[in-house]
Order: sequence, then C-alpha cells, then structure tokens
Amino acid sequence: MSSLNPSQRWQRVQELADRLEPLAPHVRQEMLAALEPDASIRAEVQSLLFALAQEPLAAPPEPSQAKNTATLPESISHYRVESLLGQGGTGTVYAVTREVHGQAQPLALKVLHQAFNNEESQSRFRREQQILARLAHPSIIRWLDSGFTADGQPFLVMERVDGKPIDAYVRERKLSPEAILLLMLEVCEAVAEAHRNLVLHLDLKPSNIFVNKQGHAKLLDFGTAKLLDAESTWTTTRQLTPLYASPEQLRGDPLNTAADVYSLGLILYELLTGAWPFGEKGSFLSVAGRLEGSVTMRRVRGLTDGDLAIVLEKALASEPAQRYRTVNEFAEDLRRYQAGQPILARRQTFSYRASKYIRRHRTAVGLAAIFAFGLAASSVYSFVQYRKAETERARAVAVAGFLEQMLANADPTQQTISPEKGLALRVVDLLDASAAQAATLEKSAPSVAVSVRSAIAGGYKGLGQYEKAEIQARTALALAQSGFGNDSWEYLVALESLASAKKAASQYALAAPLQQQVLSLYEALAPLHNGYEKALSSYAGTLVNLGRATEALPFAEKALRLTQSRTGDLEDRAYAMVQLAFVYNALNRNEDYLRILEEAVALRRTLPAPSLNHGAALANLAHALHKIRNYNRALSTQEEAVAFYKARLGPQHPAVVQALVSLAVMQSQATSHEQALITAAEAKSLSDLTWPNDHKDRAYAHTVWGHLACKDDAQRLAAVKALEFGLAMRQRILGANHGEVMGGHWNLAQCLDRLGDYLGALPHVEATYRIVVTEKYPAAEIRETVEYYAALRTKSGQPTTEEEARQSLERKLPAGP
Amino acid sequence: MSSTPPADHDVTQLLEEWAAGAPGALDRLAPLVYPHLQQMAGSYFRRERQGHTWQPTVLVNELFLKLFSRRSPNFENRQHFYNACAKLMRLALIDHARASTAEKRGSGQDFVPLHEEMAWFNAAGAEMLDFDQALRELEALDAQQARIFETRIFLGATAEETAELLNVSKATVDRKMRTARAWLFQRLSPAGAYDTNSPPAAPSSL
Repeated sequence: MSSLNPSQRWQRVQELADRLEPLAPHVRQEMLAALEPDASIRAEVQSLLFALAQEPLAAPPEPSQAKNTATLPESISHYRVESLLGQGGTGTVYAVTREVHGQAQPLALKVLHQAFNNEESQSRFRREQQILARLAHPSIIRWLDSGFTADGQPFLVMERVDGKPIDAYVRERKLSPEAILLLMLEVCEAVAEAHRNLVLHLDLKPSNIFVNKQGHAKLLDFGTAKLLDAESTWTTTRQLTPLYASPEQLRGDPLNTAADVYSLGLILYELLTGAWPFGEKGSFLSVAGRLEGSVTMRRVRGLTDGDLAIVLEKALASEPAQRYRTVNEFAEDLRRYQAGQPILARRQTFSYRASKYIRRHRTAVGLAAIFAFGLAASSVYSFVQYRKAETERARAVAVAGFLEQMLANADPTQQTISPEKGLALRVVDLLDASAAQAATLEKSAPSVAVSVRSAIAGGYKGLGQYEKAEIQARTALALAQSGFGNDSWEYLVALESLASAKKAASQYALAAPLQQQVLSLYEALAPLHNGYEKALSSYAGTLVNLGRATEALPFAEKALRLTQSRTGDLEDRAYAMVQLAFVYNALNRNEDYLRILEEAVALRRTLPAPSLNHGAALANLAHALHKIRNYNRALSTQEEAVAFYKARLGPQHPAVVQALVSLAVMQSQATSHEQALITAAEAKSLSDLTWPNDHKDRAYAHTVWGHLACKDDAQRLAAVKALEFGLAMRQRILGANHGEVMGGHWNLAQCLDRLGDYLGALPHVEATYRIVVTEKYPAAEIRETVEYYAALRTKSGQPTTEEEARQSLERKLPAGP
Repeated sequence: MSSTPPADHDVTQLLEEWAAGAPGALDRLAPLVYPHLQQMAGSYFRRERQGHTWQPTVLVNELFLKLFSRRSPNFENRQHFYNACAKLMRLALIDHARASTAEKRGSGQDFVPLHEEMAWFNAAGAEMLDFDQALRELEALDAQQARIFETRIFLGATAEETAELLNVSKATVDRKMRTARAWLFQRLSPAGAYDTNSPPAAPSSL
C-alpha cells in the first residue's frame, strides 16, 4: 500500500479515525483490521484515535486569583481595604471603608497599576479624576477623593455601587423590553449629561454600567473618557478589547458624541435580543463587519420589531454622519417608540437619503426631484390604502420632510432637460404638479394632505414664490380646520407654514400674530417638541425685524433655555443661540453677540454633521470679529465657513460664493492684497457657474473682484470690465436707483479715474449724485460726491470749483422732482 | 523596541495592488504591517499573562485596523485576504516566541493558552517554534486542514465563520479541527502527557 503519498495517507488515516471513533474499543480493532490492510496505516489510525481521546479540549490553567488576594493591602491612605472588587484595564479597584462620625462608609478605591507607572497612564488617571469631578449626576458614579498610596501610586475614591452589571441584571431578572428601554433611557441621560459637560465616555459597555439595588443605572469608569476641549480633533488610543467601540474608534478617526451613541446602540441591541448584530460577539468578523460597514443590519430586522429596528439601525450606522448625532436624539426616538409615537429616524433616514441623492446629482436636481417625487407620491397612496392610521401619519411626515428637503435644496434658476421629452422642466413646474396632486389626497387622507400642502408651501417659499406658498399654506390651514379643528396638530403644522411664508416674504407685521398663535398651540399641544423652541426663536427674529428687539429678547432666551433642558439637542441649541445672537446684535449688545456666536460655533464644531446653519453662524462670527478688529480670528473663522460650505455643498453653490466674497473683502482689509485677489477671482468664476443668469450675488462677486483688481496696473482694464458687468446686472435686477447700483457707479468711477479715463468716469459720478440726491442720502455723501466730481473735472483739464461742480451736477439731474 | 507604524498610504496601495493580483505585493506588505503587529503581540503578552486565555481577535483587530485604517479597499477575494491575515498572525506569534526565547524570558514561567480550543498549549513559550514546524508539516499533508486551523486559531473565527470564509461545511470544519488538534497534541504535548501504555507516536513517514 505504499502507493499512497503522505497526503493521501493522512486523508485515509483521518477518514478511518472519524469512522471508528464513535465505536466501542474492541469493535474498533476488528473494524480497522477489516477496513485497512496496511499495518502502518492501522498504527497511525490507532495513534490518532488515542490522541483524540487524550487531547483536552479546554483546560485553561487556574487564573492566579490567589496571588491578588494574597497581596490585598490592609489599608490605603486612611481607607480600610475590605476586598478586591475588580481588575480593570489599568487599575485595581478595592472595596474600602472610611469612618465618618463613627459609621463605616462603604466606598470604592481605584489604584493605578504599578505596571502603568508611565507619564501617559498617570495623566490619564488624573484626567479621569478631573472628568469625574465635573460630573454630578445621579446616574454617574460620584468621585469623592484622591491621593497617593504609601508607595506613590495615585488612587481615586468613588462611591461604591452595590449592584450588578446591566447585562447580568437584565438576564437574571428576565426584564421585559419595556423595562430594558427604561433602564437604557437612564443610561442615555447619564451619557448625555457627560456630553453636556463636554466629556465623551468612549468605553461604554455592560461591565461599565451597573444597576444598583434600587434598580437604577450608574455609569462607571471614565478611564478612557475624553474631554472635548479647544483642540478640534479627538482621536483615542485604541483599546485592546474594542467589543463595543464605534467603527471610527476602531479606525482611530476623530471622535464626537456619535461614538457613544454607537456603543449605546450596541448595548441596547444586545440587551434586547441577547444576540450580537454582526458576526459573533468577540469574533473577528464582528470587527471586520463593523469596519466594512456591510454586515451590520441584516439581523436587526429579524430580531426586533418595526420602528425599534429602525432606531437601532440608525444608532448603529457605520458612518457617524448617518447616526443619531447626539444621545438625546437617540433617547428621544426610544421615548417616542415607547409612547407609540412616530419616530424621527424614519423621517431623517428618508430625507437623509434624498438630500444625499440630490447632493450627488446636483446638476440634475430637477430630474432627480421628478423621479423622487413619483416615488414619494406612490408610497403615499399605498400607505393610505393599506396601513394603519399611525403608520400613515408617520409616512406623511416622511413625505413632507422629503419634499421640503428636496425643494429647499433646489435652485430656482436651475433647469434641466428631460431625456424622454426633450423639455426643459423647472422645479417650480414640479411643485405646481405636486400641488395639483395633493388635491386628490384631501378626501382619502386629509392629514397627509395637510402635511404635503405645508411642505409644498415650504418649497415655494424656498423658491421665493411667496404668493404661491401662501395659497398652499392657506389651503392646508382650511383643510386642517375643517378636518381636525383649530386646536389640532394638523392646524399647527399648517399655521406654522403660513407664518413662515409671511415671514419669508418680509411681511413681518402679518407674520407676528400668526406666530403668536403657533406658540400658544405648541404650549397646549406639544410643549416639549423641539418645534416649539424653533417657533420661539423664529418669533424673536420677526420681532427684531419689526424693530422690537427688546420684546424679542425673552422669547429668544426662552428658546435657548428649553434647548438646554433635557430634551434639547445640540443642533437645536446652537440654532437657538444664533437666533439669540441676532437679537443681541439688534440691541447693540456687542459683547453678548460675540460671546453667544462663539458658543454656538464651538458647540456645532462638536457635532458630526452640523446643519447648514453652522456655516451662517461661522460667517456671522467672522463678521462680528472683523467689526471688533480681531482680523486674524475673523479671517480664520471665515475660512472655516468657506471650507464648511464647500465640503457640504460642493464648490458651486450660492453659499460658497457669498462666503468667498466676504473672505476676499476681509483679506483685502486685513492681510494681503494678492491673497484677496485670488479669493475674489475664485468667487467670481464660481458665481458665473452658480448663476448662469442675472443674480445680485453674481453682480457682487464681479464688483468685488473688479474693485480689488483695479489696484493692479496690469489688471485695471479687466477690472473696469468686471465693474461694468456688475453694474449693468445690478441695474437690470434692482433698478436704476438702488443703493447697490449707486455703489457700482462709484466704484467704476474710481477705477476709470485710476486708469486715467477721467471723461469716462464723470458720467458715473453724475449717476451717483442723482441717486444720493433722489434717495435723500446724508449730506456728507452728497458733499463727497460733489468734491470728487470737481477733482475729476480738474484732472481732465477743466479746472472746476466745488460750487461749479454742484451747479453742473444739478443741471444734469433729470427734470421734475 | 520601538517600531514606527507603517505609512498608511503604502499599506493601502499595496493592499490594492495585492487585491488586484500583483505578484509580490504581499511580500512587500508584510514588513510594513508586521513590526507593529509584533509590538502589539509583545504588549499583549505582557499585559494579559495573568491567567487569561490568549485571544487572537485582539491582535487580529490590530492587524485589520492597520490594513483598514483608511476605509476598506475593495477586495475581490476576501477569502484570500483573510487567509493572508491568518498567516501574518501566525508569523507574528512565532517571531514573538523566537524573540522571547532568545532573551531567555517568558519561558516556562508564564503560561498563556493559545486558544480556548488549544488551551493545553502555551503561546508564550518556546513550544511555539515546534508548533510552527508541526503546522508546516500539516500544511504539506492537508493544505485545507491547515487553513481551517489557522483561521480558527489565528484569526479567532468561529466554526461557522470559518466554514463561510473557506467555503466548506461546518461539519468539515469541526472534523478537520478535531483531528488537527489531536495530531498536534500528539506531536507537541509536553512529555508525560501520554500514558506509559500508549502506543508509539505517529510514524516518521508522516
């Protein structure tokens, strides 16, 4: 039988051993003899069978616990050591007591391991103390004391939590899903409290969350927590057992509050299902899966029901930007789920997808919108027909949010060609079509119709078509009133859209009473809804515009206070801060204005995906800094605004152009002319791409570049052309007498002057004079114009006094008053 | 010993080349990832030696993180990739053993079980060198079996995951693991583990 090679031989041996192993020993011998003639193979089979019987499957050596108890110190500092509580990553935790007024107070004391006696570990240990010291919350372990042992090891003393890790607690008591959710909401509270104090925990796991005898959760171990301080990136050294860590922690990417959301999601998933969402717990696929971001959600849907699966899916999204941004948002959806209300994740995922789609295909947004609307409309119908009222309502919210998102992103001037029909379709046509569609919903699903109409109103508002917006909002309002009464949620939704259409149309006096009504409805129906805070802020804005800034202040302040309370999330809080800043600005409280903008900007910097308002807040802050002549910070803040907008919107977007122009202006005043010119040139060419037709911001970009370029001899001719271009566009859009048109004339006159074309400059000074006089500008402006006119005439070879210049200008004014 | 972490850029590029089938890319990749891995292995052993079972996952995580630190490249052949990871892991452990025996440290005193399924085997000792040799022999006899073993032990994959990755049935994984373990036990178990009445060890023809 030597015909077998070693490999075949080994196969044969294994095969025989497998077959014989289950048999009784004496039968084995007979069988083996019958099956295998080759004696040497038989010997190998015997040997392998023996090894199979001998080989210990699992015989881990005794853990050397004894050693630890042997070295248990009697006391540390003035604390009496009772027992060993546990061995953490870098420290040992003892149960200790201390006599206070004759009573032994039970405490926990954590000592840094000797082995970690290096600079980094010690500073981490100190940081843990600092962090704990700033956190005072019933669900966070309390820090009480710290010091050094006799041999110089640092220690921390904390309250002793008499309880069990949350997973053991849940298992032993066989807690219901409702009870688990309640417990996790407590944990969320604690984590949110840490976040409010700018602390990221970063090592949330069941063994760090204890449930005490009273059934309340306590967060332990801030050993790997991070302080969100001035530096803008917070990466962490990776832990050795990253079982519950977020993908960005695994990768070593910058971290924010969303990292803790991920861990909370994972813990909740495990507590609810007893399973692990990807791979097997602790197996290598659980890591690879998280990093690849692919395996994650197959199992969630099967294991928990409907909305809860969606909440978990969102909490466990592998990209932080797709996750709940804050623990509060996550907790809010858990609460909504518990209360049977529609969760926000549905809407957000839906509109997230839509906005992402639109961002990716910005040039074809009209087309994308048509496609997407078709989709949305058909899903409305199917839901109307088949689903329960509650789901339908959730879906309506989704549709409305989607439409609004889609339309808010659409550019009114943008046109696109439909490939089938070869027609130019505009977003506004699409809106008209959807407005017509909405009518068919009114009987079958009035609630949906109210949402959709309000959303369409929002769309028209975004396009600047305020009248159409108002018609839609009024239709929605009438529908809401007849169908649900004027104290219903539907009525509130419609009323809010009407008020915001009025406000957008600058009809502040009409918007104000509507907004007051909105506020009282929120107070009656949903005082905890974040819409209430927004409505307060928005009302404050209206009052400021009405010149009633003093009245506005309490509303803006209340909005901010609400966002700072339990349910307020950070994005909402930042929004409220910016609104309050507007009020401060109107009240000339410049220090408060600057401070609150700084706070808002700092807050949003901690968010993974701050809303677009962040860009506006940055630009405002830059403006405020520039005003107080802090040029360096103004510049860097404005640069940040530009970068933020570019990253979020792509380079070709109105917001980017506007921010670039402001940056150029600041650069020209603060730093180098060359740099300013480069920035302005970028703004100018982007403005051409962004607005192929007339637009006042396009005109402004050209004017700014022209103004700056005029200082260079070589560019002066091009500068004149740009200024003429900007002026002509402004005249077309704004009319002959607008202030910006006046500015255009003035700039052009000065540039022609530099060029030496004095005669060419004169008509523009004449036009300037005409505007300052007819529009009743201050006398100083008039005088300056006259002086300039005289100087120009003199330069052109006709010596002119100021009086002569005035008479000449007066003669050139058009007849009549 | 301090090792500088590899430049992510190089790693990513080599990974992509390798995934695209470029010859020699893996050979060039290994030295980039590897010193880091070894350093990790070292600190792992120092930290965890107090009676914990060696968890390959911990090191594998490190390896993946190194490889994936900038987003995962598109692998056409995941199987191939994971297999290579297992090989890198094995290399790292064995080199660690070689280094620590050379320093005359860590031998005998500290016992770190290699894996819960190989709990009798000390991953921190000089035995690792014999282990390597034995695995080579197993590889020559049954390449698939050796791969299953590597995937289970060095990547820390479960039986199900191994079956999925290597495209075999779970039953095969279990069976092959059992005989592989028995075979290794035969070859490597410390003297005296055998009953004196035991039959002779496997013949030299193996």
